[in-house]
Amino acid sequence: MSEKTDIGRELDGALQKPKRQLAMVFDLNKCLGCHTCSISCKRQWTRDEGMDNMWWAVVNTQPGKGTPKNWEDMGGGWDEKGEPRPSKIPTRDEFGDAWKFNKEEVFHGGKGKVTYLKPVNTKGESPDWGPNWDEDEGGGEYPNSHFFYLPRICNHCTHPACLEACPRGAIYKRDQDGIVLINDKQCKGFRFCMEACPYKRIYYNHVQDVTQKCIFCFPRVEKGVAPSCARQCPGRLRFVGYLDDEDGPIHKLVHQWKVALPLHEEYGTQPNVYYVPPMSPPAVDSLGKVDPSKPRIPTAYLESLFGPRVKEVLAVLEAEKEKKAKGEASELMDTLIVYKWPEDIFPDFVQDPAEL
Amino acid sequence: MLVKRIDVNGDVLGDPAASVWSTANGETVPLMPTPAAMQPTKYISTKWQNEVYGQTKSVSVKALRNADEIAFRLEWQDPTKNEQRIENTDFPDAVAMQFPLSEDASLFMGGEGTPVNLWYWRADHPARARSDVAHGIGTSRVMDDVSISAQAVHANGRWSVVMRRALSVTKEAASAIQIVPGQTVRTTFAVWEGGNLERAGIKAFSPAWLELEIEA
Repeated sequence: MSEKTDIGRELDGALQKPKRQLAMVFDLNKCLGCHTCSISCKRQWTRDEGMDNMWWAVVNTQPGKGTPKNWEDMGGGWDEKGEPRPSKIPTRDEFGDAWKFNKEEVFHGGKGKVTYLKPVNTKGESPDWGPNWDEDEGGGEYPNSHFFYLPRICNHCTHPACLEACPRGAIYKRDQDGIVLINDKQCKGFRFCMEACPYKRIYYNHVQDVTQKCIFCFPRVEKGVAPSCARQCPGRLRFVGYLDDEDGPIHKLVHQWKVALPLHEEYGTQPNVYYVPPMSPPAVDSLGKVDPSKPRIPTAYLESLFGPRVKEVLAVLEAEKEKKAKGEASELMDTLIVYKWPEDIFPDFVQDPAEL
Repeated sequence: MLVKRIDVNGDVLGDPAASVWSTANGETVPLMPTPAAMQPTKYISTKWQNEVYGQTKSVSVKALRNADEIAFRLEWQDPTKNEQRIENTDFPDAVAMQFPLSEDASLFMGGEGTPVNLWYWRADHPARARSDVAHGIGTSRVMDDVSISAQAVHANGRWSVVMRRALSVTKEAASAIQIVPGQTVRTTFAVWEGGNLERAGIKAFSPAWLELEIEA
């Protein structure tokens, strides 16, 4: 990978690149779908007015429609020629609104026996979608039904479509670590960023009239504390570090072992969140006969998310897993297992926030 | 256009339905869509180049002053009243006036060293307008040091909005227009149709300065 496609990009003929780039790797083989990442982020960052429907960190069931619903069909990002792809603003309903319940009526209004809890959205309507409406549905036909979890945050892209769409210059990429931030003093709530982001990870705060998104927990990161989604993750699958740190797990997984892949690289924004694709048991026929040549999760589906190297990556993972099973050494498996927490998973961000 | 002096209470001037407006001079200012190629980012140009926007054809402008205030009454056709900002795709209707703060300020939001003052009214905050300053496209900043009160009515498919401000402003004079009786000021207009997702540079604008003679 050339230096340019690694962490830099050309803008107006000049190479723009931050001094360093922070990145995350999510090992999808370890994700439990517990949403602790989402909750820890929510508690830390999105409890203010106008943020009730915001989930900067989500966990989607794949195959599935995602958050917002059908975001992969919305456009945004860059086409093959580097031109912006027009898109749309995802609606509150598509994200899945924050619901209100008639708790007063049911619990205190003496109607506990004649009515039941009913959610309504901000418009007062009965919702027909939510942030995890299709959780655990997945795809495939019995006996080859399958699903896996896909945690998603802002990708802090190297070529951020949001940044370049903003007419206010309110979005910037930090030089010291490549974190992409929205300056809410400059933002006027025009929402072009929400259109341009192909991953649809930007929310609109209708109370404050600004857009808001994952900030890679920069106030924590600046104090050596890992982002809350990563530190709180019970599955310990969220690696955090600098892409250029050759001793760190990020560099090992992305560049040395090359088993961590960007989501929808074809969107052209060069995301800095990478995924170790999920392995799956072999497919079986209706009589229960195993077909070891076919994985339960169709490779073509994984390729539609993580690109053409999926097969190769899964083969490396299988081979290394096999080694480990035989009692042989595997640096890759040891890295993915994370024997020592937190130093093996985010070595530069081991500070316990409780001790600050 | 002559901005007549009429010694009525400011609250009367501020009411778009007040009969005093029938005595004011008026002008119908033609509007046109802002060119897609002039939008500040490539995303916006690409997205909107084949879309229809800025279709508000004109704004009817009237202005009056009393001893210490000036009021502009702007009226334009808009069959859909958009005042909400709840759903992510909600954009309220809006109108703005632009005043040059230097002799050679560009029509297109001023420029470096040649700022403009913008009076910006939007339907989600109908009782006040914002005073902004800009030094070029994409640079407008809210300067909430000057109070512009507003009153708006949407009836019969038309918005009528009055924006009213003290003639002279002392604080931050560099970012707000001074209206001096006996002198002239220039202005242009912009209208956003919220129902068509119009915001920022996606709007109808008047491509020529309207000269206002402030009656002494």
